[in-house]
Amino acid sequence: MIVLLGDSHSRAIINGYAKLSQAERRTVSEAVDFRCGFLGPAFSFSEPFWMRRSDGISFAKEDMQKRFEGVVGSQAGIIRPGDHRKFIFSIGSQPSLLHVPNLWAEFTAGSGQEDTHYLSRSAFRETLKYYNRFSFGFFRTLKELNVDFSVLASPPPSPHFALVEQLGRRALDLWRLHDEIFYEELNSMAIDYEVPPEIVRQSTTRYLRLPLHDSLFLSSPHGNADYGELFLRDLLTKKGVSGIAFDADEVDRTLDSPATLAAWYIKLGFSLANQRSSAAPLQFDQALKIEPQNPKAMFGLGYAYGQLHLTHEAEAQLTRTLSKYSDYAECWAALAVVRIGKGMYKEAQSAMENAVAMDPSRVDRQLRLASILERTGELARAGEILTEILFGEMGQKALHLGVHSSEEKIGLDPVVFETDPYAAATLLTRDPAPFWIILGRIELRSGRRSAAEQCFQRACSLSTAKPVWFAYLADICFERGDFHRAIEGYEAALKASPKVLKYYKRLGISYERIGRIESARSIYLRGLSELPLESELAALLESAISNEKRAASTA
Amino acid sequence: MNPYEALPDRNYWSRSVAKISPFDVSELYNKKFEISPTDKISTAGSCFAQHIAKRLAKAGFDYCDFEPPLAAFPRERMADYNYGVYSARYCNIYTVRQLLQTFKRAFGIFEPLDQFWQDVDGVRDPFRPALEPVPFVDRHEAQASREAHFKSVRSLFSTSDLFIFTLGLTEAWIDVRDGAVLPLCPGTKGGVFDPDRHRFANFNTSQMRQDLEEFVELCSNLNPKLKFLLTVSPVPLVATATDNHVITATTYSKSALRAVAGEFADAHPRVAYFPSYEIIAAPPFRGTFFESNMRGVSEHGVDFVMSNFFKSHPPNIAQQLVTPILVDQQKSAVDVVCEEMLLEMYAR
Repeated sequence: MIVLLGDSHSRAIINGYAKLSQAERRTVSEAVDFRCGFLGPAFSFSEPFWMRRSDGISFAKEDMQKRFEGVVGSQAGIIRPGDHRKFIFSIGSQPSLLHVPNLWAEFTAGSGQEDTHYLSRSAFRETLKYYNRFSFGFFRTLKELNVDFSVLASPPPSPHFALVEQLGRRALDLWRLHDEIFYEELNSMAIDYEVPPEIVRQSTTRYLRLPLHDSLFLSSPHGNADYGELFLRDLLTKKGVSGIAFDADEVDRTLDSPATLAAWYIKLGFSLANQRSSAAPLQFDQALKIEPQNPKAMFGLGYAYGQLHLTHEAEAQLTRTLSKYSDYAECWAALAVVRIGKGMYKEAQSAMENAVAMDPSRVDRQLRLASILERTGELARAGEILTEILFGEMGQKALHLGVHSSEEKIGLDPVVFETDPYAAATLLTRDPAPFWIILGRIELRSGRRSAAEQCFQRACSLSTAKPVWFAYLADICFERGDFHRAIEGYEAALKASPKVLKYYKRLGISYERIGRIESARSIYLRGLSELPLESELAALLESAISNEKRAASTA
Repeated sequence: MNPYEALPDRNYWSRSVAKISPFDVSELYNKKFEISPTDKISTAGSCFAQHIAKRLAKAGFDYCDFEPPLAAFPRERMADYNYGVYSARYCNIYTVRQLLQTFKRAFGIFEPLDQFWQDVDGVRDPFRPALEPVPFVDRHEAQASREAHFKSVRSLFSTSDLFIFTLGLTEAWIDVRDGAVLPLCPGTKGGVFDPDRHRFANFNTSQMRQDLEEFVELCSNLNPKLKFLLTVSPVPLVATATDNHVITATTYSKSALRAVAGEFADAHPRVAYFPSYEIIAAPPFRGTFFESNMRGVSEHGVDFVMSNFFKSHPPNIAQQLVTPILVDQQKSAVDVVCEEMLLEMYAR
C-alpha cells in the first residue's frame, strides 16, 4: 500500500488521480494499493500534530486522525514500527513559514535587498528548523520506528499567493531558499524527497517549465489537477507502476487554459493590475513583445497604468489601442474613466457614450455615463438614464439576474473597472445608494429640492451610506429650516470629515436656531481646534458668546 | 572657613565608606541629565554593556533594537546570533577606536581594505567575526548582512536620544595598511594572522580622548539631541598581548579607560559618566561581585550596579509590564556573548 497524505498540496495529487482514466486507475490499484488524502492545511503542521504511543504514532488532532482513518480505514489509524505501508507525506515542504502574515515585510534572505533586515542562510535554517520542529520531530520518530516514508516536495510558488504579490522577486528568493534548506535538512536525516518531475522544471515553452529565476510563475500548481496528474504519474512510475507514465513531448498542460505564453502574461497582468501592483505593466509589456498587436495586451497595459493612476500613460496607451481597435467597448469605457480622473468630463462623456452604444446592457457603464452627464450639466439625460436603470426594463432585467457571488462592489470610484456583466445586479441589489445620490444631485440642480431630499434620504438609510451623503441631506434640511434634521446630518458628516468648515458653521448655526447656544459654542470651539485659522468660526463663536450673555442678562 | 567644611558626607571616606557596609554605599553617581521614559536608548560596548542593555529593557526604558530578529526566529538562539545583545548587531565593541570606526564605516566615511575573510568553512566579516555560529556562505551573503547592519547603525545614531557606551579595552589589533582596528586578533576567530600586516596597539588616554572627541562630534553633527553615557567595564582582560602580567595590563587598561571617560564627561555637557567600574571593582567592595574566576560579574553585582543607576533614573514601572525582553533572561550574569573569551583557548 502507498499512502500519500498531508497538506493542501496533496489535493493536487488527489485531483490528479481523478484525471487518470479508469483503465489507468485499475492498473494502479492492481500494482499497488494507492491511497491519498488531505490531513490538514500546511500551517497545522507547525503546531503539535502527532503523538507517540506505546504502539506507534497517531495524529494528535482529532480531525487529522479522522481524515487519516478515512484514507486507511479506522482499524489502521496507527503508524506502527516497521509499518508495511509506504508513506509519502506532504508535510513541512510547503513554506507556510513564508505565509505568516507580515513576518517577512521587513526581512529578506538569499539574494538580499537594500531596505530590509537581512537573514543569513544559517539564521534562516534555524528559523525553518524551529518553525518546523514538530514536522521534523515526526520524521525523526518515523525513522526510529523504521517506517518506510518519503516527503513530497512543495510545488513552485504561485503569483496569486499573497506573499508573491506582496514581496514580488523577494518572495521567489525566500521560496527557493526554503526549498533548498528544507531539502538539506531532510537529506541530513537520510529522508527521501519526492520532487516534481523534470518536465516541470526544465522546458522553456510551457508554463510548468518556466524556470523559477526567470519570472513570477504565471499560474498556480497548488491544488491543480494537471500539475498533480503529472506529478502522480511520475511518482507512481518511480515506485514501479508501469503503464501510466506520461510522454514528455505530448505534455501541454496549462492551468487556466490560456493557449499561448502571451495569454498567460495577460492573465497575470490583469490579476496584478486589479491589485494595483506596480508589476502589472511589465506583464503586458512581456505579452506585447510576443504579440505586439494583441488587443487585450494593448488594452491591458492602458488599464494597468490607469490602476496605478498614471493617467497620462493610460490615456496614451488606451488611445493607441482604440486607433487600431475602434470597436473595443471595454477600452472606451476605461478611457472614459481615466478622463474622469483627469477632470476631463466632456471628453470622458464622448468615450463612455461610445462604450455604452457598443454594449447597452452594461448597467455599470450606464451609471458612469449618468454620473458624467450630471457633471457636464446634461441633467435631463442623466436623469433619464438613472430612471431607466432604477425603474425601467434594464433595471428589472438586472434585478432578475439575481445576486452574484462576487463580492466586488461598484462605487463611484473612477478607477474601478468591472469585467463581469452580472456585477450590475450586484450594484442594484447590494448597493443602490450611488444611484440615489446621483439622482438626488440631479434633482437638486434642477431645482426639485423635495425630490432631491427623498433621494438623499433613501441613500442615507442604506447601510453603505457615506458620511458626505448625510451632508447633502443636511444642506437641504438646513436651507428649508429643519434644523433638527440638519444637525443629525452634519454631525454624521463631521465624524468622517472633521476638517470641513461648512459643516461646523452650519451645525453651529443650526444649534443656535433651536436655542442651544452652549452646543453651538462647543461646535465652534471644536471647529477651531481642527481649523484654527478660520476667522469665520472665530466670529461665529464670539457672536454666540455675546448672544448667550445677552440672553442671560435678559433672563 | 575652608571648602572642605561644607562638603557632604559622601566626599569623605571615613563617613561614606569606612564605617558602613559596602552594600550601603550610595550616591556614587553624579547624574548630569535626566532620562525620560520616551528617550530612545541605545547601547554598545564590551561584554559588560550587555548587562546594562538587558536591565534597561526590563526596567521599561525605551531601549531600542534597530536590528531585531525575525519574529519567528527561535528565542533560545538569539544570543548565539547576536540578536538582542545590543541595539544593533555590531557584536562587542571593545575600544573607542572601534566605536569610531563603526560609525565611520556605517556612514561610508571609512572603508577598510580588508573586507572579508575567506576561511575554509565560509566567509567572515573581520569586524564581526563571531556574529553567527557559522560563517556566511559567500561574500554576497556577508555583504548583504553588512549593508543591512549599517543601515540599522545609521538609523541608531540618527534617531537615538541617549547612547550608552561601555569602554572595555585599550588593547587591539590594527591593520597597518589602513589603520583598521579589528575586534579580535586575526587567527583567533577566522582570518589569518600576518605579522607584517597586523600590529598590536595599546591605546593611551590621549589617543582615546581624540577618538571620543571625533566620535561625539560626528554624532552631534548628525543628531544634535543625542546624549552620551559612558561607563567602564569592570571585567578584567582575558589575556594581554603586552609583556605584562594580565593584572598589570588590566590595571593599565581600566585606569586609562576610567581616566579618559571621566575627563571627557567633565568636559562635555552632553556626556555623563556612570561609575559601574567603581561599583564592582573598587576596594571597598572587596571583589564581592566577581564570580569565582575573579573576572565575570555576578548577577548580584549587576543588580547592585543597576540599583545605583535606577536610584537616579527610576524605572518606568508601567512600561515594564508591556516591554518585551529582547533576549530571554540568560541563566547567569556571566552567560554573555564574549568573543574575548576565545583568547582563553590559546592558554596552554
